[in-house]
This record gives sequence, structure tokens and C-alpha cells, in this order.
Amino acid sequence: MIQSILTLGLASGALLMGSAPAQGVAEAGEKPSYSFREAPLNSMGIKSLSELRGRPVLVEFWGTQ
Amino acid sequence: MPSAIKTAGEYGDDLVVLFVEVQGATPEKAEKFAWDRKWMGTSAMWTTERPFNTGSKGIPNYALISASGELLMKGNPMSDHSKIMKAIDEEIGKAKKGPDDAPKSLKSAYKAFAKGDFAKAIAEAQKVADSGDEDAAAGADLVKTFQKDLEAKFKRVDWMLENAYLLEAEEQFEALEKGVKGLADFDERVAKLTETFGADDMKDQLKAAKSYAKIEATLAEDGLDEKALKKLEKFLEKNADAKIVARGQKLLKLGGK
Repeated sequence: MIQSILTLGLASGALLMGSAPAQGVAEAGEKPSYSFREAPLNSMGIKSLSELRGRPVLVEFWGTQ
Repeated sequence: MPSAIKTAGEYGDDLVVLFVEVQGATPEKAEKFAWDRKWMGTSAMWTTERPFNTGSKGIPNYALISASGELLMKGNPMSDHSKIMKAIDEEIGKAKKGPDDAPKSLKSAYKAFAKGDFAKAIAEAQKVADSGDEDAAAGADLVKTFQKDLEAKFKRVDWMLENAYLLEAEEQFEALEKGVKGLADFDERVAKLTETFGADDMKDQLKAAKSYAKIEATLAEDGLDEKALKKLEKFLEKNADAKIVARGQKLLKLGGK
């Protein structure tokens, strides 16, 4: 029973969030770092978060489903 | 989502807006989804790679990162809207003035760099570096940082040229050329790009890029509309030799053509 609830919970979490995160949870005050495998669309070739420094960055996580 | 699109349009280059699709869509599916909802047409960036996890269980969720790369706040973008806007305004102001902990003697160098007067910025920082006083080491570090940032800006122009973002490359180069005037270290770079933009076929390439930009703007406004896609198809046939064709073909494919 507990196993089923856990499985269901994990499955619904996956539905909400989709792909696995790149790293652990980033908290306020931390400096997240990440190198993109593919440059984001419209980024003009930017391949890492650190290259965005110099301007504030608003990251919005969204879904297509 | 529409609110963040609006924010991206309002703040332009002062703010980076990065949209991250986190439900496992392919880059093509995510891009088509955004075109169909008329979300394209701003400078916002799009990716399907999650660069970090906010720990939130729902979507949309957001994170605001400072100009120095520090995560400032995160949460639900709808309920935090006014908090986010206030923080963005503050961060843009700070980014233009330089970091809070920067020595007072280097503030004018930061301001000059933010305004695009790169030669003045480096000269100001160099002056502090040469002063021999307590801020000298910070001044020397800042000169190196500015030079590295400028290198990255020139590399970005190269990337834009290679990937058919010609109008953007021209605009960025004009700003760089003006800003580095007097900096001998960048003479060679400027000369090479001047030659590229002065080449015989560049005028035609830029003309094609301008026409393409108009079609792309219509598609951003109307979604991947059949009429505009047909116009794009005709444009691509007529401008088969233009560098911009690769971008147009990708868009046409997204539109199902």
C-alpha cells in the first residue's frame, strides 16, 4: 500500500516536472552553474549560465503539457 | 507565461529572460508551441535543458538571478509578480553601477562599461590599477574582466555571422566598434569585421536579412500563420543564396511545410 502511494506520488511529481533536474535544489544566495549542451534559442551562442552575468536573469520554468 | 513574455519585451537588453521547458518536450516541439501561442518575437531565450532545480513541484515557477549570478528569489511567478518586477528594477540599477562591494574608485569604470564606452571603462580601471593605492589590485582585475567581456562580445558577433543573425551582428559590431575606439588590443578584430561587413555580397545579405526579419515579425505576431508561411516559402525560393535561408527553412519546417 505504502509502496503504491509512493509510486503514485513519484509518478504525479514526474507529470508535474517532467525531465530530471540538472542538479540539486538551488537556494537563494547560491550561484547556480550550468553548461548547456545546446545554446538556448535566441541566446546568440551562449553556452553557460556564467556567460549571462552582467545582467539580471529571470528564469521561468514552464511546460508544454 | 504571457506575463514573462511581456516582461522580456519591456526590459529588452537590460534583462535576460530564459524560458526552460521542463516537461520533456523536444526543442522543436517547445519552439513550435511558443510560436503557435505568439510568444516569440522578443529577445527571450528558450531551452529544454533545465540548468538547475528550484525545488518547486508546480509549473510555472521562476528564479531571479542577479547580474553577478546569485539566485535572489524563486517561487510562483503569478503570486510574486509585483515582487519580481520591483527586484528586476533594483537589479538593473545595480548592474549598471557595478557590484555593491566594488571600490568607490572603480564605480565610474563600471558605469562607462555599462554605457558601452569600453575604452573609457578600461582607461578608468587602468588608472586605478596604476595608482599604487589600496584599490590597485581590484583595478587590475577589473581591466582583465573588461577585456575578457569584450573578447566574449566579439566572439558573439562571430557566432551571429556564422549563424545568419546578420542584423544583430551588424548592430552589435557598430556598438563595439564605437566603444573600443582607441583600444589597440582590439584594432585587429575591428579591422577584420569591418572587412566582413564591407564585403561585396554583405549588402545583399543584409537586405535579405531585413526582409526575412519582417516576415519573422509577422509570424511572431500571428503565430505560424498559413499566409505568412507561404510568404516565407516564396522569400526562400527567391533568396536561395542568402545566408538567412537556413533559419527560414527551420521555421518553415516548424510550420509543417
